[in-house]
Amino acid sequence: MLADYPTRPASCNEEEAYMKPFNVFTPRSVSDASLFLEKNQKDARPIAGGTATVIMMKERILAPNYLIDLKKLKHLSYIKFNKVKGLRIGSLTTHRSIETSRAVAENYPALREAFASIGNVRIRNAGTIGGSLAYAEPQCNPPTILAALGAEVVLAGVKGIRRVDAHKFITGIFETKLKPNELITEVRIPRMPSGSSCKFLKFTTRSEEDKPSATIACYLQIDAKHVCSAARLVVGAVGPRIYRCKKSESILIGKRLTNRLLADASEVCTDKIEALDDIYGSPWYKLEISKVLMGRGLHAAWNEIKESQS
Amino acid sequence: MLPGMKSRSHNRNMVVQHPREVEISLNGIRRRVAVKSNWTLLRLIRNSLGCKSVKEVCGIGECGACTVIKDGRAVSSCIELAILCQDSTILTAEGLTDGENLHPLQDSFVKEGGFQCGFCTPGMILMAKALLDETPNPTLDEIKEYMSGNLCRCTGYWQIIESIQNAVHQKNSKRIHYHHQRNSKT
Ligand SMILES: Cc1cc2nc3c(=O)[nH]c(=O)nc-3n(C[C@H](O)[C@H](O)[C@H](O)COP(=O)(O)OP(=O)(O)OC[C@H]3O[C@@H](n4cnc5c(N)ncnc54)[C@H](O)[C@@H]3O)c2cc1C
Ligand code: FES
Ligand code: FES
Repeated sequence: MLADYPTRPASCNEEEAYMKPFNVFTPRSVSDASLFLEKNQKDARPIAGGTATVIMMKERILAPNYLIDLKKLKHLSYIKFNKVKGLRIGSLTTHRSIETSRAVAENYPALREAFASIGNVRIRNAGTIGGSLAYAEPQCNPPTILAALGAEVVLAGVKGIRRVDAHKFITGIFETKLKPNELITEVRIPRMPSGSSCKFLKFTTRSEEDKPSATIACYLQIDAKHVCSAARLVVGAVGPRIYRCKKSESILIGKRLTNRLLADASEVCTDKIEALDDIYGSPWYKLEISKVLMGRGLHAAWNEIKESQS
Repeated sequence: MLPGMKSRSHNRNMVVQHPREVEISLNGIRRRVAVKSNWTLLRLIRNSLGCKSVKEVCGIGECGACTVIKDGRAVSSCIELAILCQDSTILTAEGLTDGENLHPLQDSFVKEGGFQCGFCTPGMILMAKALLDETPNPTLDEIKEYMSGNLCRCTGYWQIIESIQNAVHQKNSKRIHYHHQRNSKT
């Protein structure tokens, strides 16, 4: 069970002990980068904040011949908010910029919450939203919250641009819908209509800033007649990818919410999840924790909407 | 240029660099130094440029012993690649003082006993500096939250928190008595 604990990379004093030497490619534009990826599929790797890539290179999980230095694409670092269109975040935007953005704090408090609880300040200063999505580690916070907010991931490749729903973007551990020549350029989050609320909760077993055993995010929307008109419930970190809890959602949508309904929905939210057995918890434990977190998240979201409507 | 890449006209932009030198500003001095592609920033500034205050402990971004301030932001130098740091401005603990007078945070760490073995201290002080640059008057919770990614095996953390609070209060020229606070909050 302890087998996947990160091994300590060789010390900096051992001259050539780690990381295979590589060349750096500095793209001028996204199409530069994707053309280069197309030509050197097996050999090249984009690098954004590097917080995941450098560790994988130190551990020799990765040994690319070329690194594509995306940080030089400064125009991909932005947060734009529009009351009608919602939020657009450039893929090179750091976690810390999202955490400290006023537009995010005022309009998407759960998004702020999810980014503010990533690792530590240094990781958030370096790591980027695009890197976190492309990395696709099950324990990452961003995919869970982005799926609940109904976000879309914008991908650019040699054949043009396409958009993928955030909840379908990650397909497995370290696996995504990205084609070898594609890059993430933007994340688009729809506006939060009135009568809606979103919550993000994570649970760690060791220390606060450790990777979580479970993360949940839930989005509820209740119309003027007090009927739940939309719900997106997502469980992350438990299985190899994030899971949309469709069964729970169908319990809630179209009904007037009650405590009973919320309890029923959280009880079945782990349906179909294949929980992983790792240092963050046993499958049974993670599933139970997810149900409890989902119950808390749903109640918090519901209460917030009730307060805003009263 | 790679073989087979000349055929397309717009590929002229696509220059594959093999930089063997980077230019950085370290503690206010511009330096041009030779690097290997697989060096971390930590390897460059500790081993080649002699800033021994920067320590390697975990090597995976968790402990904060290798903290440096890069372009105004605290980062883990153990997971930054030196070769990608061209034109960046880096501050280590060596750059906090003029060699005569201690930086107010250093002074406060000495007075409040904010260290024992001292291994985590340069990272702690740089992290605290980054905190105070962003939030000049942090609350206790803000200090705890910001410093939570820096590990110390010796002090038990309270002395470190008090050192930071004291530096703030010194600046605002008042002193407070921590002891009731410590008893009531822990
Ligand atoms: C100590 C520590 C603690 C952490 N704790 C947490 C935590 O609590 N919660 C959490 O969610 N995460 C955590 N993380 C993970 C961290 O969030 C990720 O490492 C980070 O988000 C990755 O972003 P990056 O920009 O550094 O990616 P990089 O390392 O630069 O890249 C990661 C991968 O994505 C690819 N990539 C990067 N950008 C793009 C792009 N635009 N298009 C296509 N592919 C791209 C790269 O090729 C690489 O394969 C932690 C990491 C560390 C080191
Ligand atoms: S050595 Fe870099 S964070 Fe621990
Ligand atoms: S003083 Fe020894 S590790 Fe902090």
